[in-house]
Amino acid sequence: MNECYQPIKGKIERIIDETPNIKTFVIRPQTPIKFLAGQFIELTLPGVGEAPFTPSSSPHVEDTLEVTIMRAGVVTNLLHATTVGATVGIRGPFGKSYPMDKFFGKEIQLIGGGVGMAPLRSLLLALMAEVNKFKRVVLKYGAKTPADIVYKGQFKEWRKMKGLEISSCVDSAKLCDNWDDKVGVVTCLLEDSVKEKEDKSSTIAVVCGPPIMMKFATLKLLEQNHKPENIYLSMEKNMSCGLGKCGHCAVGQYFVCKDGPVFTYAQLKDHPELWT
Amino acid sequence: MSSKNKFISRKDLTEFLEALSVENNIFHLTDLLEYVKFEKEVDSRPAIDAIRSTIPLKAFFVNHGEKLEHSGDSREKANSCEGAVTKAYGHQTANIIFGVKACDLKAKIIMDEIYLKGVCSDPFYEFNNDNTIIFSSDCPYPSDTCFCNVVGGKPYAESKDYLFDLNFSAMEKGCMVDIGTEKGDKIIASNARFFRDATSQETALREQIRKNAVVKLEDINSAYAGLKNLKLESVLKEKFDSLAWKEFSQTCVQCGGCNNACPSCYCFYLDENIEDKASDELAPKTRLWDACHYTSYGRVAGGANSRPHLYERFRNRYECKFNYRKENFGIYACTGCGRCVSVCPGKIDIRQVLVKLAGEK
Repeated sequence: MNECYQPIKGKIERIIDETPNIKTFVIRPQTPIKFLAGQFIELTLPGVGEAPFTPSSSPHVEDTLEVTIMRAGVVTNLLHATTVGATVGIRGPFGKSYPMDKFFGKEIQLIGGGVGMAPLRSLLLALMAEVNKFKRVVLKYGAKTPADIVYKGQFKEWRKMKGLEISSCVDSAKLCDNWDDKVGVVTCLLEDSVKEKEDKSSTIAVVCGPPIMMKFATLKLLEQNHKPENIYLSMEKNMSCGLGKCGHCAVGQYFVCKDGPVFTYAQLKDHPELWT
Repeated sequence: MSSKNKFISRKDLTEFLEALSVENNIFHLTDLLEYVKFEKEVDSRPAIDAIRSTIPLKAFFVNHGEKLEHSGDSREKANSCEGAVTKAYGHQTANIIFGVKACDLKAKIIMDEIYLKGVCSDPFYEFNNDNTIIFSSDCPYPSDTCFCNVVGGKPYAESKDYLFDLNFSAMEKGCMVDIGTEKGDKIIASNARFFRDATSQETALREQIRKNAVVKLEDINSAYAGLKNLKLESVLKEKFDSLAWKEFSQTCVQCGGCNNACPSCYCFYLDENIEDKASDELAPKTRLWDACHYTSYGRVAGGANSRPHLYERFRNRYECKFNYRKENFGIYACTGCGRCVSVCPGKIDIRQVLVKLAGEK
């Protein structure tokens, strides 16, 4: 009998404070979990509940996985209250990953907002492992304030990486933040690409963030002649079973958990509940 | 497999059920529209010509409150839960469900698509499915809430359309029996003493009873006949943004009755076992039926909700039945059983909603 509903055990090995309300949990599962960038897992806090998260660590690392979690509800609040050594449950991985084979040879733009950087970090690490296979890799990241930026230490390292261009912005910054990058919403980072006046028809854009950010980033990309089939969205719905059965994550004819969570805009564009 | 129709007399039917009940749990339909366990010594009266049971067929396959325990003796486990109908009856060889209507068989096509296909089969549903024998029966006396004919159904099941093991067409002196599967054929073969071939008069009489039922349905649903010629999926697509959804949902009290009573509403959520909070072990999940009418259904982290308004959730049920699942599986997920009409405290009639929606400019 396939044990699709039974989580396997994992231990929280390390907890990294990213921002005042975001932490990254390094989890060692009892048996290694092999996943692809973009796929998600169901994380159980025993006796409390289960919630879907996309691992933020490299898919090339199998014995541990990292999950970056914003405190937002019952399960995440209590997850934030856990300590190193706590037991969690993991089911998965579920769903479709980013189709790396379709990305080879192309310019890749990762556009992230807030904690939406989590799946993008996993993808970024996968891309950087084969960086020579891509024409160009660009990361555009926005957060509310400088304090809300995740992976602060890693951003410094990434900026030194060959083959990766990074630009970032915050919605607002105080003088004392010493913020010397852009101030504005994520779409302001996309203005740059207009100046470049390059042909965007084969550029891959991968967008992940809060629904409102995904919506306006997508509209901006379309304005800049990105093709709907080359805009990838990481959809976050209320995925519960992970198997396309429980119904919660349905968006029209799609079940986000099995047909996604990675979709192209072309797949979803006609659905009226896309951005809700 | 025998293609001949069989006949069993009323007296033999009782004896046939007695014989089968030695090794199986038989749940038969009663005139109170319940499935009751057949007991040899008890005066149980199957009323297989009644309309569909109040509780939908899905209750035999997906139990509310079912503990999804994968390990151990799966058969025992899968049936040890307090299901909506099956309860904790000691499991014998199989469950025989006697008196299943065509509307529920059609809904089971949707349930099978969701639970048996896709990424993987749901092992608990699959187990129940493997251990269930379906004896369907014709529906000669449709009620005012029945509208299978409006959504492409018939008040009786034929093996070319639906999967049943045996189908019973009740008549005055007994039942004409159609064989749907090898399993059904074997049951007939090993109980051959109760059956004989149906005569041509009996076949003709059955056709007449079926025709009468269709005529009655046409009569009941004369006001909704226009729906038959519509592509409801197109109506639902075009009228997604209609303001009328607010009006339609005005008397909805979000009880979830329509969802729970619906034979094709498959949604559930996985619950944790609270008693395991302190434990280091990971308890199995519990499956609870869920309903898209509930506010909590679309709620995600941070209090966001993909359908915060009642009318959006109300609309979703219609979109799901006539548009989304039609696109997935090629058939409407509404089978016209009318349970949602019967249970609704807000007196919302799905047929009227569809007629009004289709007429919206």
